Amino acid sequence: MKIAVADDNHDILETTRLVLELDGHDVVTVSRTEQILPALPGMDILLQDMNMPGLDLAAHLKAIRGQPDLARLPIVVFSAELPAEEELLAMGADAVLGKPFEIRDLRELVRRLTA
Amino acid sequence: MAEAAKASTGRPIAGTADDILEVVRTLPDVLFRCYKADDGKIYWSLNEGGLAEQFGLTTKQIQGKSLENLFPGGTSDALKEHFEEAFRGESTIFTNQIGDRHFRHFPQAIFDDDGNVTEVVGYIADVTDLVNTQAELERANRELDAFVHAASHDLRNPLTALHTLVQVMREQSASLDAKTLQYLEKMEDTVDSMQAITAALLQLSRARNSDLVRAPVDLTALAHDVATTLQLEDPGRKVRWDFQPDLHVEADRDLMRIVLQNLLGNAWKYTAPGPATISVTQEESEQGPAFVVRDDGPGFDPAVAASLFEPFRRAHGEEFQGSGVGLSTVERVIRRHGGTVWAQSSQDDGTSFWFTLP
Repeated sequence: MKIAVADDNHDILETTRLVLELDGHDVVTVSRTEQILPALPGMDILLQDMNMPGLDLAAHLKAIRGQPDLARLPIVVFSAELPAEEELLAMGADAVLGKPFEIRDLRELVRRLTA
Repeated sequence: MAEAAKASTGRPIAGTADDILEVVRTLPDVLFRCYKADDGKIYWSLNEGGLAEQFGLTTKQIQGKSLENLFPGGTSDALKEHFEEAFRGESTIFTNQIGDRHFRHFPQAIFDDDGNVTEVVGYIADVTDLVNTQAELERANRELDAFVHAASHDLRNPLTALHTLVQVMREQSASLDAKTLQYLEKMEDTVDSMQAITAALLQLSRARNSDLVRAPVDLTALAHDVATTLQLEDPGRKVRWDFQPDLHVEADRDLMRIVLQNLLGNAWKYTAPGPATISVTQEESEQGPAFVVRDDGPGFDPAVAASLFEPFRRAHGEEFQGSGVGLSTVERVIRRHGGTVWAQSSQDDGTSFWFTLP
């Protein structure tokens, strides 16, 4: 599975990469907002942090959904502040994962959304 | 009387208008007296005190000049509005600014027997120091809020990373010896504690800063919601949740959830591990109708009741996990709603937290 992880925090990027690579996935990490969209073609799923510098999440998700080849890309949004789940789902996220997350929940989401 | 006073002090009592004026002129503030003339304008019959002398506005200096003639446009318009109010008998305390100085006015209408305002009297104090100190305090508070938010928010990412790493190591536990596994478990607990602290700090930050959105809230339903989450932590534990039905309030729903999470969470924590009864009721108090969260746990020393709501104060020792900001968060939320919160406890007779929501 090809997985894109977008987060401005390097600790999160590297540990998430570690977990996913242990499971045999190919991981692309992106730490800058403007690099996210170009990194997405060919990906099977995007794990997207909700707060990155310069990120307007609603506009960002809309832009992804507006591209024909990405319209159906599964997107999981990492959220550090609850309650925000309903709002994030309404913006176009397929699932929300609160920080800190359990790695079995991450695995389960990746499995379910890419099945 | 005068004779008696003279006898006791050895000096005559000064009682004439001139004597009183002499005293007033030594005061740093201003005492004033003004009236409305037939032309509808406001004139002063008295304006004395340190400030009047400083600004060249003593009675003698301003005699015959109306309010509009004494001050530049902006100042005069603002003053006029307040003084007109006072002449309508609706005097309110107000503060105006001239340059970088702030002056608080305390006007008071004088009525004749028919209920008409004949004069407005009062005094004016230079409150520049007070206003500046207040501004400084507000700035310090904003910085503190920003710090709390940044500290709690920014710590979450490294903690999440640490939490993930510990889980990865746990999954490799087949290759770890018993001692290492034990250290790992301790590490996991520590990470959990730190997460609880950052979460509590985030809550405190929200309680201080988020906009207050009042709407009808079913407190009973909210309490059941919070209790269900607590019970999930230890489904086997026997706690009787006793919530009075139909407790409705006008309040901020998210903030009230934080209040109940903290109060019910404390009750749950301090009655553990045995069975307990935890209730939410509405009862009469000296402050009017109050909501009461009560448990039948060991209670705390009543001597610490007042300091419970200060951040990082803890009635119980380190044997109980906690951030030390939970009750201070509760206090902040209730205060922002215009209510008060207090605690009652005796060492053997459980604890109750009372709060009002006007």
